[in-house]
Amino acid sequence: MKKLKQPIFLCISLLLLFWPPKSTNSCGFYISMEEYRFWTFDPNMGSEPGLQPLFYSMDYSHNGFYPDYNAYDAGEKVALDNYDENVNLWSKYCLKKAPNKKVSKDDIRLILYNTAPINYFAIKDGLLEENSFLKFAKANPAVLQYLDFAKKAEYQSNFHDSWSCPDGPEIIAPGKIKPGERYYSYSDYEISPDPINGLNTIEEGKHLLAKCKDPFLKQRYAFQIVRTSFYNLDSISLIENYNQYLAPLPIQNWLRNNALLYEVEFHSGPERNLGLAHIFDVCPDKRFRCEELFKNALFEETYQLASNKHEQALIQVMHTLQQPMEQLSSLQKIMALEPNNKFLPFLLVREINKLEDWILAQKYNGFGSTRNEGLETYSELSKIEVDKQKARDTKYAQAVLTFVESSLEMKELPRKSFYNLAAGYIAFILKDLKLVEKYYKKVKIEELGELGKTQFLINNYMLSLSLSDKVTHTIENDLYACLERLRKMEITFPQYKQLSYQLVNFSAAEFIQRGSLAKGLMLYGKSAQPYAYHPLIGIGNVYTQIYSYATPNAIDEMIALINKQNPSPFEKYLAGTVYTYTYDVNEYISSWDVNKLLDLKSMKLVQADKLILAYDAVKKIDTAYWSNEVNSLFRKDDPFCLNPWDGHAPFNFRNVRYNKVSFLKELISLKTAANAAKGEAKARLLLKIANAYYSMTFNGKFWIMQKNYHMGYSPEDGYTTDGTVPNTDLNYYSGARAKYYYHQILAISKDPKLLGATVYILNTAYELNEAQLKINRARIKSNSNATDYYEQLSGNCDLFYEFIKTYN
Amino acid sequence: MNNKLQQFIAGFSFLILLYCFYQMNHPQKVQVQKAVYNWKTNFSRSTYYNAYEDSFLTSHQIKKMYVKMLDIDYSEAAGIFPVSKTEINYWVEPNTDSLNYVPVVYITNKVLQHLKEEDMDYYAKRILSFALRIETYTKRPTQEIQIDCDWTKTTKETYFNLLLCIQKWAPQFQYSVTLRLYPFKYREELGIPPVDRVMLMVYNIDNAKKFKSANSIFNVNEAAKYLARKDYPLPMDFALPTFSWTLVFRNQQFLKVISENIIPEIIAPRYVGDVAKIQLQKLEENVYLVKEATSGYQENALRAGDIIKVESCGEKELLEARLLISRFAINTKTTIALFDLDQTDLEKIPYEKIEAAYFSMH
Repeated sequence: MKKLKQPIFLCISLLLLFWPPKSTNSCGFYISMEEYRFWTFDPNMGSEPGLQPLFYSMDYSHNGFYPDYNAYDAGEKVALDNYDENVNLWSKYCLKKAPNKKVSKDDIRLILYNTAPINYFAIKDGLLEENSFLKFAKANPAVLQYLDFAKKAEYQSNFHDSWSCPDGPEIIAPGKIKPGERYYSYSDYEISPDPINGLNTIEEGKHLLAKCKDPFLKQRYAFQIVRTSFYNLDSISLIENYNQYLAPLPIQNWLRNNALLYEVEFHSGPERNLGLAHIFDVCPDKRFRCEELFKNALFEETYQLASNKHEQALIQVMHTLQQPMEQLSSLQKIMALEPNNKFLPFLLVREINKLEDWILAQKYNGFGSTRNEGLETYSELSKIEVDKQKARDTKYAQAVLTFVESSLEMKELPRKSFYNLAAGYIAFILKDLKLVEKYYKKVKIEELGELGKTQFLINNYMLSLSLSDKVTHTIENDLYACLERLRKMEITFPQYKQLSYQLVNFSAAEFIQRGSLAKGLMLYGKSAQPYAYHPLIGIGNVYTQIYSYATPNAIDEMIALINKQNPSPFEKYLAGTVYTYTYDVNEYISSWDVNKLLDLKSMKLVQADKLILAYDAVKKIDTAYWSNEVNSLFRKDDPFCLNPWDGHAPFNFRNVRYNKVSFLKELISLKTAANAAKGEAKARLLLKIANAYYSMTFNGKFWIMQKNYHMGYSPEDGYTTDGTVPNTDLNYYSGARAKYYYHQILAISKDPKLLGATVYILNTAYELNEAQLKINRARIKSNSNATDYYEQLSGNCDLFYEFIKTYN
Repeated sequence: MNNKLQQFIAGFSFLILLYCFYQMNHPQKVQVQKAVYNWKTNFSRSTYYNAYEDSFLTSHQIKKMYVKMLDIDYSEAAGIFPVSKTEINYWVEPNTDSLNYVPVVYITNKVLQHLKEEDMDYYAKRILSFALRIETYTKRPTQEIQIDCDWTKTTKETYFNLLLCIQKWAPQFQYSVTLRLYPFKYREELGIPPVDRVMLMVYNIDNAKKFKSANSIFNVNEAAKYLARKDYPLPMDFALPTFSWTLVFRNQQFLKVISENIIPEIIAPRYVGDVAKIQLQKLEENVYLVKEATSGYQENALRAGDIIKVESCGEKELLEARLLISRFAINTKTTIALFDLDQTDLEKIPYEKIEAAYFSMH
């Protein structure tokens, strides 16, 4: 049994060096489904606002398109976006009241949404001059009075330290106490009403509302009362104030609909569901909340309650959004009820995103469909199951396409260009490129909005690439045009950053498929979206892709492109900075590492036993490169000296140091010398050569010569511990070559020590099965001295040290 | 009286006299009730995670712990509201725990200023529920409940009414209140609280809000001025200082107190290569100027220009405070408590000095 101390140490070092920042949970490699889900059809194409959390995702909700995603920040950003409308209303109000005073929206947002009530009162006096909104309020005492009240109401309506004490005893009567029960959670999940301050706040609000003359503030007082009443369980105040002050406001009024949600929540059963559907219909910033609150179990009763087709369609939409997986039948129902339902395009995009994930993902992200993981959490589906599922998904895609086709025949269907684009893309997923062309031709670009125009550009590029046998300059230029457009628009449309990565992943795979290996692989460097699984570091990166798929010539082509004078815009883009890992984090953005590319090229050449070419490659590498953390680990050893008991263990009697350059140089010299030598001199040279090849195997101490990472096993090695040879390429990875040279020694040498030791090496480090041991021993049977020496070596380890010192 | 008897009485008297002289020159140690305060937002008792605390309690044979359970404050936004609810992590087998726990509830004077008579019952019951939460976890019966408040002349009546109201709802417990040096001295103005015992806090002498170089936690000469009288109408316990705090001043005005020495925390980098955002310039011993701070409108954030002053009470202050209270009648029912059970502060004080603080010499 070979000891694996050194490889374990090296693996740990490599893990520490290469471990990506957010790829794992506690148990093994794990990336979240939304990190690798493949999509290129912009989910915003549905055009209705406030639906982002409801975009297709196998997670609970879609978390947005921030590449540096973290739940807290993303939540904050999303939350702030929801308040834009109210901030705008306040901004207009300030302008109307004081046209000459500039009140910044940031200051309004800061006071309204980013200053906790207790802090507000603690620091208000100090900010009256500093914050333009508070300065305005100071000049308008009614506004300041409202803000003071609003902050009190906010405290009572938001999560706060409450008087709730579930683990404390209850004081029932003087001297009578009911003991508390141990509480294992310290988080309060609900806002606890404050029977004194909560109700006082409501009463104060009513009093201030009655005195207030300003309609803008009056509505807001009413809203604050409604909200505070909701959280303090005062349904009478809630309903009275909602009905009197807010219900009469226009149906799209932000304040009205926000208040309506509180009113609706006081109802129960299907009436509550219907109320939620109404708010969902008109109030974008409450859509996700309404969907969360909608009780799908009451769908049928709610549907019965609907008084017209619009309401029926709306309830069907709410129902659909809570259903996972295929929802074609729901789409068909909504289309039949209300062809111009504004949520239909969104629902169709949702189905398209599913189809992309289910059918296309495996080819472009290396991880497959999120559906497979979602169905069988923590246990991957077998390939047969995945293929069966994909066949079902393809059939479903065909059904979706048929639905869109039949819908397009309806006269009253609005946004026909959108539906044609959608039909074309579903046909693209189904690889029916002629049909794609047919539908794309029907798209009238002027009918598409900004998002639609970009999508059409991308889809046309994807089609032209798919129609072509090879990657032409036109295709390269088209891709560059798409990526540039996405880059320029990503400030306005944050999803475009991720979309550009998805498009790069798609293009890279398609480029490689069409023979543009160098450019295809280089494209991966432009993506921070996973495109490959890697057995050691979890997610493959551009260099692991190059190691896995590039040829030496392709690497030469890459280096030439990086150094090219007068490159095309696309080539310049390719040669620019790259993501060294698939994370959109600055620390992983760098220029191409030509030394690394040359190193990878040398590995490929060593694998093919083209040592002179490999030497030429490594000679070009800067000296400093060999001092990097990985390579420096291998320098203090002698690859020509083999420790047969543990090929990874140091064995360096000559006290030498090697890097790849000096190793290859010496190995080439040895092979040249061996070719010219004869007899025993040749045999002794062959021993060093054989040892060197052994060092480069999976079990050797210089495996880095031809492999850029080391795992716990290497089936390609052509070698197993029991001596059997698996069905792998024997020429791959040096094992077979080492054996070839050891056997050469047995054929050439008459030196009993060298013969005995060679058999000993083969038997100890290499060919361990009994049959092979017999064959090896038989080869020196005629040389009794060699057999004796072999027997002595077998009984005395120290003797081998003597041998190797002399013969190395 | 025969001669022998006379000799015996004289001899016996002489022995008594000798004994008295001996007693005078060799005062006996009186074993008081040893206690500590746990003044954190987390009350943690665990065999595994509180090694220092356990060792401190065991080595000093401390049998009583005052545990802060809740702060109550008032804000214009929230009204009277609970803050710093103590999180309880109690993982000790009840039969192995020999400590008596006294729950403490801290009430700010602002609460009293806004507390209405009609709301008194509600808050009294809430205070009791929060205080007695400790029983839910320790399964040990509570003997005493302590209320901590720096009441004033104007809030005296409300405070005393609240105390009576609390006792009305749970008369089965003993009640104590903390007593600062000021109400000890000016008892005629500030009144005698209607409770069973008081805990005299032998610290917080100076007004921390006035920026002075002296230690506002404890100054023996200042403290002595308050302790001219040797008695109090209620049985007394004593709390001695062993704590640190950080005072923050902004625009030459007191801003807030942070109940620990925050310097090590704010100058420490949070990760390798981090440049701490809060840069400090040392002005004098334990006084620093904040050069650069986090932004945002948070009440607790430090800002550039803030001056922070760290004050501590160590061995010297502890023993000075102990000496000051030696004039009071101390018996076996008297509790002497260290404020508070904090490793950073306590481990700076030698074992024997802590022991000296706990023993009364008579």
